[in-house]
Amino acid sequence: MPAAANFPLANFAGTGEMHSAPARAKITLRAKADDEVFLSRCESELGFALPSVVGQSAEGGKPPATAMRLGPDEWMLWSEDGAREEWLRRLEKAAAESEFAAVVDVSDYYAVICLRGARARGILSAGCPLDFSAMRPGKCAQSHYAQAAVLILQCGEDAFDVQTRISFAPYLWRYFQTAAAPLL
Amino acid sequence: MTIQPHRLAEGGLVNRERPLSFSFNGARMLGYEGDTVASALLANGARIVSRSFKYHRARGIYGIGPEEPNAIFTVADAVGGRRTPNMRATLTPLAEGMQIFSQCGWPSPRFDIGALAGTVSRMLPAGFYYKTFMRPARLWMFYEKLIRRAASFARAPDELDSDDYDHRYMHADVAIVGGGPAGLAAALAAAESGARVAVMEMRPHWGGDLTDGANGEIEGKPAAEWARAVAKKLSQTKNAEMLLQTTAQGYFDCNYLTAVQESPAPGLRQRLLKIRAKEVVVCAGAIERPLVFAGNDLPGVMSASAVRAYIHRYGVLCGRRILFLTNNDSACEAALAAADAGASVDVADIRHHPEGHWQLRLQDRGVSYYSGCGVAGLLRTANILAARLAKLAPDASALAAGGEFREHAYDIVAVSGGWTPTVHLFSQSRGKLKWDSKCGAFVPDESHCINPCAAAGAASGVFSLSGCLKSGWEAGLRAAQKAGCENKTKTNARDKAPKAAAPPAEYPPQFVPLLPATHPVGRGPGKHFVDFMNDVTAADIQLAEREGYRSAEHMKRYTAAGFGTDQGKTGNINALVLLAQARGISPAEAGHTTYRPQYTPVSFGAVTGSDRRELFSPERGTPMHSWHLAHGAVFEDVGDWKRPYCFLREGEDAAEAVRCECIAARSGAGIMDATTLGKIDVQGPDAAAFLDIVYTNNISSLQPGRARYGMMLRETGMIYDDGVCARLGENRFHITTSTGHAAGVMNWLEEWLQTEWPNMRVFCTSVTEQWAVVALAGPKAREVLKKAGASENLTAEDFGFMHIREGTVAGAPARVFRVSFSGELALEINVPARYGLHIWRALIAAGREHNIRPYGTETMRVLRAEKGYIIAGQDTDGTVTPADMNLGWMISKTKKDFIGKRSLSRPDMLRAGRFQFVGLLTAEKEKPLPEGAYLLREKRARLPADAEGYVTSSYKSATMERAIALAMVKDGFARGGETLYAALPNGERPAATIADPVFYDKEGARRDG
Repeated sequence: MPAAANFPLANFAGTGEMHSAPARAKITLRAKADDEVFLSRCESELGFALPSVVGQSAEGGKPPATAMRLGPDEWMLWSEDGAREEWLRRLEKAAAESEFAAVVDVSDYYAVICLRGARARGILSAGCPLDFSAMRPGKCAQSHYAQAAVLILQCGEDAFDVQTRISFAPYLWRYFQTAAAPLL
Repeated sequence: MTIQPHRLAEGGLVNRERPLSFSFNGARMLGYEGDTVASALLANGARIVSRSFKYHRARGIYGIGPEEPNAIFTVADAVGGRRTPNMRATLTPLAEGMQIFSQCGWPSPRFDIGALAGTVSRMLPAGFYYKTFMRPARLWMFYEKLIRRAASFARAPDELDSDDYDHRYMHADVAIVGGGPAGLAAALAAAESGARVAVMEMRPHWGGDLTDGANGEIEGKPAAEWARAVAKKLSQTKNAEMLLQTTAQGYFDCNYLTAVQESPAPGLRQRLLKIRAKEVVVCAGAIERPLVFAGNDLPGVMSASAVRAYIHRYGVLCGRRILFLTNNDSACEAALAAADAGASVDVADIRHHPEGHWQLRLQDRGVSYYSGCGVAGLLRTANILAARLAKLAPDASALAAGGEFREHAYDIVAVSGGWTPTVHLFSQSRGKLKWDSKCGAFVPDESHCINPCAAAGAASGVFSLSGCLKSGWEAGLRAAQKAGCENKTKTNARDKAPKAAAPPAEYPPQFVPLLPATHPVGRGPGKHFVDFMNDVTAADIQLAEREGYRSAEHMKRYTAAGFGTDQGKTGNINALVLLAQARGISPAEAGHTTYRPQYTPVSFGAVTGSDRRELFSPERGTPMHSWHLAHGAVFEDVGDWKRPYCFLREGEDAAEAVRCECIAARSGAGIMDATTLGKIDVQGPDAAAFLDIVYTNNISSLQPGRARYGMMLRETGMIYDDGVCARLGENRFHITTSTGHAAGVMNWLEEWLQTEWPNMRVFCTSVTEQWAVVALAGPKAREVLKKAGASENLTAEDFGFMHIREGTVAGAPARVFRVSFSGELALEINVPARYGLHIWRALIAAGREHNIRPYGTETMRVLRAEKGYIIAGQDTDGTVTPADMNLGWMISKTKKDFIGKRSLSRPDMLRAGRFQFVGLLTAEKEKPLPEGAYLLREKRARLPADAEGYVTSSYKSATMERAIALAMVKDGFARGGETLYAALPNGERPAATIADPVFYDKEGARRDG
């Protein structure tokens, strides 16, 4: 069955510096910050603890996953696309044990554009008010880029993954290209 | 080639290897790379460059920077000839092939018919327009056109701006405005403390006035060389952002600054910087103020510091015979520079017997120094200025008794009335200003700043080089410390300020609001100008005071002083002092006007940045968008979304396509992309209780696997949005919103959860684009779904109306809702977005034998209108209740509360005469009414007349074979059968009869196929 998971960017030729991430599992986790049951069940299912600081990410697990804390009661989990069903099953199991937690599959809601290299910060600063010089690998933040809402994860010294809603992905891509042009 | 008569043989920061040719009002001229338009014009001896706004007086270049009030031009590019109006000559770099045009003055600035206004200026006092064009009020629009034409503004270009612009966000511990000695010292101190600094300098060189021939040394180096070295050193460190040609324009709350950078990168004209700084140090320098004397606006009257700076920055000597008229020592330095450059120089100093360093030096040079002397009148003949030098009384307020005059001829009268600290940004940040009698101006009062901000150097009223260095250094240190960066390496950092020799003793300036003339103020030929750009004179300010406009803000508005595009950078301070004098109080008591962004005019291009062309606004498409593009879709903008309005087939126009699409959906099968509907996943033990309170109807009684049409009200009781609420499990719901309200409803739910009911255990997650949605409608919908290979539970007869089921469609996992917005048997198939295009294609292929047609938003609207279904936001407008829409049945009678409930029992909601939702059948079947048309009771009613109602939706219905409409009509429910008349703008009054809004299938038999 044909299913292009990164379909909104299928027609855009990427480069090493800027490319569309392969399809990714994306799962929203919602739970109260003091929900020890959910947090500990999650940790045993994931193989690592959900980050306890807003704006911080954590990695680990099998299949490998990245969890980002987006707010006091919200996390986003990224993993490989093939692991989507398994993670949903395992996290829903953890949620079921809690009195009040939610697991929502948003894998197809968002696309991820990867920015790599020396120009990444300059590209981001053209449209996003965050301070990227002060950001460190492993940090994440939600903000806007021009008129698109984005979630940005700094995944390396000069590496940023930018998640946006799929319908905004072509706009964001073109904006990145425009912003990159004057940066030599 | 033309010569440049006023260009010195050497000197200046221009590149004489690179001559540039340009034209001014058609005359060909030469300049050099590094020139501004102003310096090139002066080099070529251009004298009258513009005409003033009100009196059309001849004007020349006055200043050298952003203060310039006269030299504003339209500039056309060499290539393409694109014209840009309102370019400031003193800030516009000269470019090869530039064509420069004066904006005011017809037929030319040298001979302007409008100058006749000056001869009748007694009849054009301040407030002239208010007084003259008051009555009758209805003629104002006519008057306004005349006044605008008389003011002869530039023509706005109507072609696209071919230049590129962008934006950049920046962050700094310490942002420093100004790259002169104070700014550089501040930057050095802050950077050495480990702070991230951003330094903005408006000019293309570091050092500020140090490049204008400053004498003296800093740290043993010539001052200008020190500046270059410091800037170079800073730009090589990682934590300093050194920005030349960057003007800080706005200073907003929480230390948010905007700045415009010229030519930031190849191919970019300007960049708008948006800067967040923990601390700001304003080292913006000072602007030399004019003296207010009779005839002070004539071409050839210039700022003394500008005359000096044109020599040093551009190698241009503005005139051969120059009179320096001053009340302070700074003009003496300028006079010396002009003498050094070869000019014949006289100085008239209003102070009696100033005896200081500069006076001695000038006398040594043999310069005639007239002390205690003013200019009592100035007359222009061609390019010659005849100055009437007159002895002044000791306080300079009147001519000396038995006054003697001397007439001298000059090319240039260079004026210095002292220096006004550039307090604009400090004041913009809501920092308070205080009167400083030492500099005769307002200076920043650091004990009253709202935002973390400081001022240093001339901007704070400190004018000596050593003082600027010291105050800049200390401000930089303090700012870094307050930003959390402590200088740990240097224990005595305060003493490490760059050093300059103490300045020669200064003879104190003497401030007088205006210089006496042979005629009283406001009489006689020579006017005392205060604001050159807006033609405001001292007499106007005195008049404003006499007429009761006594506060600084009122005087400003009455006279328009400071309202020009220069924002009164030269004239404001004189206007304020004159007002204070007229009121007989001190300037400190009279106060000042408020400074606002922008510091200088900012182009629309910089504001727009990259947000234009395809980046003007995101264009959102669904996963099926590519198919729509390839199959004749005509798109409609719905918020950011591009939704197909209809799909054109060969030979069809839009109306015909909509007609065929409607017939297909009613007779066979139609298919619509409904992906844009808002979708929210609502989960938690209190989800049902929460939805009970946000919807008007009962949700908690809904069984899992079932859906219900739900309506949301605002607290006002007015309809906000409607949609389908489906219960997926005991504690899990999937609700939909209209496309336009997707984000709004999500925020609405969060707002109530976070502010009113934080204890409710509910999580709302937007899943709008997770799901691609295909609405499959028509009597053959089930057959099409079967053919497309759907799982049996989805095609079974027992899959009843308002049920939801999960299964597969064409191999894709699907969640299917048996809901209908068309009145036909319909299935809304939700699949994860990645499968959207796949099932769309599969359903189209499967429906071929039933003549399936994709349909767009217009067909959707026609189909629902035939059934009397409302669209929230089209048929409702925020003033209608469910009862008004005949949806009273959606109000739960059993629920204790829901949002808006209380408002529904307000008397106004229950009164007679409310507008109610009805259908309309037009008398002429073929002619739909325009949407929005007002309905009248009488065909011949004269307008204005009370409206009986208005049309909210109107279509030509293929099914009903006639035009139908939906409308809100006063007491409409009880008026069935009555005929109303639509008032059309063309005078027609078509008749329509009030009818049931459910035009088609009133029994609702078709929804089950």
